[in-house]
Amino acid sequence: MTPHGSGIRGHLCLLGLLALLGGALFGGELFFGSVNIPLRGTLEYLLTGEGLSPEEAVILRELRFPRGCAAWLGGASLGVAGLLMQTWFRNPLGGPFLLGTSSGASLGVALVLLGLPLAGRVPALGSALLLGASFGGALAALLVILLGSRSLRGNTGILLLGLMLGYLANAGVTVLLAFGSLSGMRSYLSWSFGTFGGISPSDLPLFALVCASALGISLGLGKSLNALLLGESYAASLGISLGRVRFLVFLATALAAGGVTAFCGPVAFLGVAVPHLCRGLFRSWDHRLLLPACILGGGALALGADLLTRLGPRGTLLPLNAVTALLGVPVVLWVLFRYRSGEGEL
Amino acid sequence: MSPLLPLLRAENLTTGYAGRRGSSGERSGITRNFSGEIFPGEMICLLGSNGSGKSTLLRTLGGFLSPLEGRIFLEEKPLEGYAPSERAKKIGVVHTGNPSVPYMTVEDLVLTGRHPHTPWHGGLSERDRERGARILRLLGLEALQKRLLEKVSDGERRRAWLGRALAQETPLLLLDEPLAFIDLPGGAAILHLLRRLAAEEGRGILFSSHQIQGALSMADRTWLLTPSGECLQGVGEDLLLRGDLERAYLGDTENSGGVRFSQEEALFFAPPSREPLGEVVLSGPSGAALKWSRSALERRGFCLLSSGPPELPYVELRQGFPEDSPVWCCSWGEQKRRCASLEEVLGFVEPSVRRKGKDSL
Repeated sequence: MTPHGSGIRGHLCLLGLLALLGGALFGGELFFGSVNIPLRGTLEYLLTGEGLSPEEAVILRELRFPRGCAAWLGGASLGVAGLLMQTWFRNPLGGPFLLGTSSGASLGVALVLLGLPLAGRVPALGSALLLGASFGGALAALLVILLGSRSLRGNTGILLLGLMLGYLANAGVTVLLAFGSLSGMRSYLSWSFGTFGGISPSDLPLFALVCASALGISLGLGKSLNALLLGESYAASLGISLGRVRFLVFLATALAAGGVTAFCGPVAFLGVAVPHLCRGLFRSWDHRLLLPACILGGGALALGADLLTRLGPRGTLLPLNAVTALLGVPVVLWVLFRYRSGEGEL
Repeated sequence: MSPLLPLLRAENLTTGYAGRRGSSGERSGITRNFSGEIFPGEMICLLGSNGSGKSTLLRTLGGFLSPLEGRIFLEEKPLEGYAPSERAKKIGVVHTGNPSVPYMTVEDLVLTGRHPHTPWHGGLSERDRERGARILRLLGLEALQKRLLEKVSDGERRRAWLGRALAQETPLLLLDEPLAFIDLPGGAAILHLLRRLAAEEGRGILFSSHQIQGALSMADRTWLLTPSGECLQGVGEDLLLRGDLERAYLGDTENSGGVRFSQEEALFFAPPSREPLGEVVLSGPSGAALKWSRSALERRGFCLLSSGPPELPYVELRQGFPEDSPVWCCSWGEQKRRCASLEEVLGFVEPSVRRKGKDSL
C-alpha cells in the first residue's frame, strides 16, 4: 500500500513542505493587516511577550492569532470532510458545499439566529447552541444524501440531490429571514458571507476541539477508507464493518462541516478542491497519506485564501467565498473534464 | 463421501432480492431450494445463462446478500455468526465489475488483498509484499506491476482483481467471472493456476464463467443453474452428455433464435439460416483441416455430402503428414484446380454453383 523507500521519503518531504507552507502563511496572517505592526516587534512579542504597544498586542492576540488558527483548522477540516465524502459516496465532486452539508448546517444556524427569536426566546447566543444546531443540520443533510445514494444511480444524481437540498435549506433560511428580527437578520447575514475572522478568542478552544476530534477520527480511518475505494462490496469482503465505518465517517464529516460552518460560515469549494489537489500533488490514492496531506494542504490553502481576501482595494476585505470560488471552481471543472473523458472514476 | 469437512455448506437456500426491486426482482433470477457443499481442494464451476442467478448465488454464499430462506455454514459455523474481519480471512471474492481507482497501480490493487492480515494502520510487512510478488508472478503481471490500473487493458486489470483475491490467502474463493475480458489462452492459464491452488493448497474454489468448455473441462464438479431456479449438480461432462447444459442455456428450442449446441465441442453455434446455395461433395482425412473446411463451406451456405453424382462440385482434401499444409483438389465437370487455401476453394465452387443455378432457371 505504501510505496517503498524513496517514495515514502519523498512523500514525507512533501508533507513537511506543506506544513512549512502552512507555518509561513500563518506568519503572514499575523503580520499582514490594515494596521501596520512592525515585523521585529511581532517576533519579539511572540518570543518574549514584549515589544508591542498594548493596542498592537490586542490586535495580534485577539484578532490575528484566532483568525489564523480558524483559517488553518477550518481549511484542514473542510479538506478532510471533502476527502471522506468523496471516498464514501464514490463521487469525485463530493464535498460539504456541493453535497448540501454546509447548507444543512446553515439552516441549523439560521434556526438558532432567526428562528429562536421568532419563537419568543432570545437565545443566549451560546456558541455551543450554534455549534449543535450546525452539527445537527449537517448530519441531517448527510443522512438525506445517504438515503438518496441508496436508490440514485450515478454521481450526477447525488450531486443534483445535494444541490436541491441546498436550495431547500436556503428556502427555509429565506422564510426565516423574511419574518426574522432585524438584529437576528444582521447577525445571520454577516455570518453567512463566510469568514475566518469572525471567531472570538473565547470560542477558539471549542472550535479547535471540534476540529481536532473530526481530524482525529478520520486519521484512524485510513485503512478502512483505502478498502472503500474498491467499492462497498469489496470493502466488506476485506473485513470492513461498513456500519461502524459509516458511523465514524459521518460523525467526522458532520463535526468538521458543522463545526466550520458554525464558526466561520458556509465556506465554499475548499472541501471539494483540497482532496483533488492533494491526490494530484502526491499522485496517490492511499488515505494514510492523503488524510495528513488534506489536513496540511487544506490548512495552508485556507490561510492562503484568507490572506488573498486582504488584497481588496484601499484596505477593504474581499469576501472569502469569492476567493475560495476562484481557487475551487477551476479544480471542479478540471475534475469534470477528467471525469467526462473517462480517465478516472473515483 | 469425503472424509473432509466442507468449507462451505448451504442448506435449502433460496436466493434473491426481498421484494425490494419490485417486479424486476422477480425476473432477476432466483435460485430456490439449493443445497450444496464446497470441499477443500475442490474446484467447482458455476454455469447458467445470463440472469440465471449466478452472481446472486455467489453473493449470497459469500455473505454479502442475505438469503431469502435457508442457511449457510462456513467451516460448519453459521456464516452470519462471523464478524466481517473473521470472514475476510476465510472467503476471498471477485465481483463482476472491473473498476480502476485513480493513481492505483496493479501491484497496489493486488496488495489490498493483504488488508485482512495487516494491523490497524494497514502497514504491509515484508511477508505481505512477498505474497503479493508471488501472486503477480503467478498471474504473469510482473512486468505490469508498477502500471496504473487506468492504463492497463481490461483483461490485465481483471487479472489484477483476481490477484487481489488470491493475495487474501483464504481457504475459500468465490469468483464471479474471473475470466471476463481475458483472452482464451490467458483464461486457460488462469484455470490451470486455480486448479493448482486447489490441489496444492487445498483451497475450495467456486467460479462462474461463460467459457463453458474450458470451465467444464477444468472443474471437478459443475453447478448448473436452470431458468426455473433449480441447480443441477454433477460432473460437468455428465451434465453435458445428459443434455442438461443445452436445456439450461437454450430453454425451449423455439426461443433459442436458431442457436444450437454441439455436445462434442461444448460450444453453442448459430447454423447459417439462408437457403442452401447448392451441394458440394467434400472428402478427406478427418482432422482439423476437414472440420474447418466444412465450417467454411457450410457458412457460405453449401450442403455437404460425402459422396454424390459426378455433376456436383468435388472438393478433396489431401494431407500427407500432419505438419504438411493441406491441399484441396477441386473439380467440377471438366474444370480442375489445386487450391492452397479455403479462400481459393470458395472462389472455385461458388461461381460454379451460381452458374448451375442460372442454368437450371
